[in-house]
Amino acid sequence: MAAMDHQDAAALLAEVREVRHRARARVHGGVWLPMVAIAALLLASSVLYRFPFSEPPPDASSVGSAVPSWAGLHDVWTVSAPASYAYWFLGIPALIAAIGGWYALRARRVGMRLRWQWFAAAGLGALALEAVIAAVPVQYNAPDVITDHGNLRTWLTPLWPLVAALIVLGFAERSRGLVVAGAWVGVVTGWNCYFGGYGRIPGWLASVLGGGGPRLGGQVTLFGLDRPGPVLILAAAPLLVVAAIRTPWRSIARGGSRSRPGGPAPDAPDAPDATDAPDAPDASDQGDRA
Amino acid sequence: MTVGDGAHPTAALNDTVHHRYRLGILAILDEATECTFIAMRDQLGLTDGNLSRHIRVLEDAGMVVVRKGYEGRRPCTWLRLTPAGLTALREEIAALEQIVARVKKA
Repeated sequence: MAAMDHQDAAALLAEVREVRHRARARVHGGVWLPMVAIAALLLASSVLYRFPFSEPPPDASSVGSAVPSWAGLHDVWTVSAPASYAYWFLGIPALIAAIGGWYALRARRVGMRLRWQWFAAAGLGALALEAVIAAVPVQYNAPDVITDHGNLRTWLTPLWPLVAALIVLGFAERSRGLVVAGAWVGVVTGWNCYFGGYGRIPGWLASVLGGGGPRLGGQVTLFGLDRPGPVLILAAAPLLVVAAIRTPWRSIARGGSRSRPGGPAPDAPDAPDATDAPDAPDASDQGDRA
Repeated sequence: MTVGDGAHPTAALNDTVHHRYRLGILAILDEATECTFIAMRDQLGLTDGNLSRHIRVLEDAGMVVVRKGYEGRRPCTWLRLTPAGLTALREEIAALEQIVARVKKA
């Protein structure tokens, strides 16, 4: 091979980076929709609670400790356990199927495919695993099972399959923002599972924030409320922010991306094999020995 | 091929990969699981024949896998990067970066 000077190498590297950048924008230009859809599912789950954005009236009757928490977050004022169960166990598979359809549509439109099936496997697999664990018969005599951190059932919530799906999708989409947003949903979920409530913090953190005092723990509230609604907003917010950043606004305004400018001919045959008569070689082939 | 101590970085350049369009093919395939022939052609601005020739070279070298299928009723050719192709791409990029870095050091 002829010696290559640094200018040629630099130019070639710049070309490769440009090609890679354009390809990346094309193949990952659809990640915004799954993020918005999952955030919408999270936020819409606020209807599973009787008082998602307000304090329960003093005379409101609760349904008792809800373990597993099929509404998503631990709350004693859920509307209906069967409704919560149906929402997630039908909603998550339907959402994953819809997102799969989105990726299939994008593959047809832009001509590039992503390995989104791992995202589906992670979400559905985690959901199935939770259903199996929840079906294991147990006997409960503990009066306050929500705070029984050592019991696996206190950690069961349909939010974990969403966490798994988001993180795996983040890797498939090569989006650090999505991975972090998914992990954040996990942090909020784990926080809620561990403390069995909204916004509770350990004593050491309360001392740090409060500048001293008894280490009995404390409470942080969102918008002045310790209710599921603000917690769901807190969990979903990073997803929406990353989705807004990743949305190809200009492409959407132009009517979406296509494989070629002006769109493909509807019945254009696929490209011929290399055994067909070759075209004239391009200029960069001069000196190519392959 | 990797550069040993003292060897010039151009020794690490791969004849098969060291071509702007073939590098472009590998770079595009590194970003997606699969890419159609038409999408590849449009992104690189090549003719069907030229692209076919470069893909045949890469396929013969075991760097790209060609899969023919259908999208509805339309025949479609999908291209996928192999592990060997990914390795070759990364080694080529590393060798090019070394060439540039040597001049910056000097």
